[in-house]
Amino acid sequence: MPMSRLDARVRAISHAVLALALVASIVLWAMVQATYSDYVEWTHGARAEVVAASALWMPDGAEIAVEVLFTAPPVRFQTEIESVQFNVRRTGVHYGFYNIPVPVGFVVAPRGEGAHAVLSLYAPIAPENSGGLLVGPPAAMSGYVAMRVHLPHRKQIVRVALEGDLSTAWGVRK
Amino acid sequence: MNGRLRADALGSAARGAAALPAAATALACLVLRDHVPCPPWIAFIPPALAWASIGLAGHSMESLLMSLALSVGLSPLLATGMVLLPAGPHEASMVALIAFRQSIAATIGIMTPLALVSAWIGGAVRGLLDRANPPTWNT
Repeated sequence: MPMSRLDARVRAISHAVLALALVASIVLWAMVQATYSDYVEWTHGARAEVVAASALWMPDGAEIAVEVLFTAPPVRFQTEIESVQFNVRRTGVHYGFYNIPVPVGFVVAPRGEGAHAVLSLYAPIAPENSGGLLVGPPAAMSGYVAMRVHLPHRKQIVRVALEGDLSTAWGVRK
Repeated sequence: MNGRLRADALGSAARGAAALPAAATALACLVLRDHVPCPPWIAFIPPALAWASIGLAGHSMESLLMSLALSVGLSPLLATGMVLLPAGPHEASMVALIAFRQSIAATIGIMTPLALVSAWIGGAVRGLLDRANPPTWNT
């Protein structure tokens, strides 16, 4: 069946629009994919480890001093450490949950650069835990570093696992 | 006649396949909306254009519906694959499940009505053009 001139012209426009839509969606996906794969690689590469941790008697009680090394690959968005949170246990006995906030706006790495930061943090030990915790072998710390990641449309909290031993020291006995 | 039917079916499949990446990209952008560098609704413009262009082409109703069904029906699967691509093996199943569930919901709630409305708009424009310019046959 012969095709009218209008029909031929409209079909040509239709094919051009279809091709334009295809190219636009490929460009859009390339942009999203770049950010998303960067984020996935960053979450796989981010590491937190306990460099040193000890529970100490202090003149006004007891406290946990912990040094955490945080490393992460370069990423195209800003990342901040929000807090370090962990539980302390020894042979099945729980010696408290510790949530140590990091000062607001502590930027681990500027946009596009890898992170390599050592955090020195302190938290008081509740009196009901200090007696049992400070006497005896090292305890186990397990928790995470809570990160705030600035994605294009949201600030996402990402948890990076943190584990280590908490040594007990005598410090200054009250 | 049989050959023409086959050509029609192949044509509508090709048009559906061409609209499929745009539809899947919109769904993937919806799933990964936090990573989209522009307002998320912009992701729905390419599939709307693609479906409008299919409606504009002025094919038969069966051919039009086949193209729409192909692009809308397969888009959640392709979107899940797109979202799954950079995920690590240990989280792949969870990511796939979340992406597929959200894609299916968006297909039912957004993409199907959008496909029908866009194709209808394309068809309406085609109807207006046909009415304004009666066919002049090539000889």
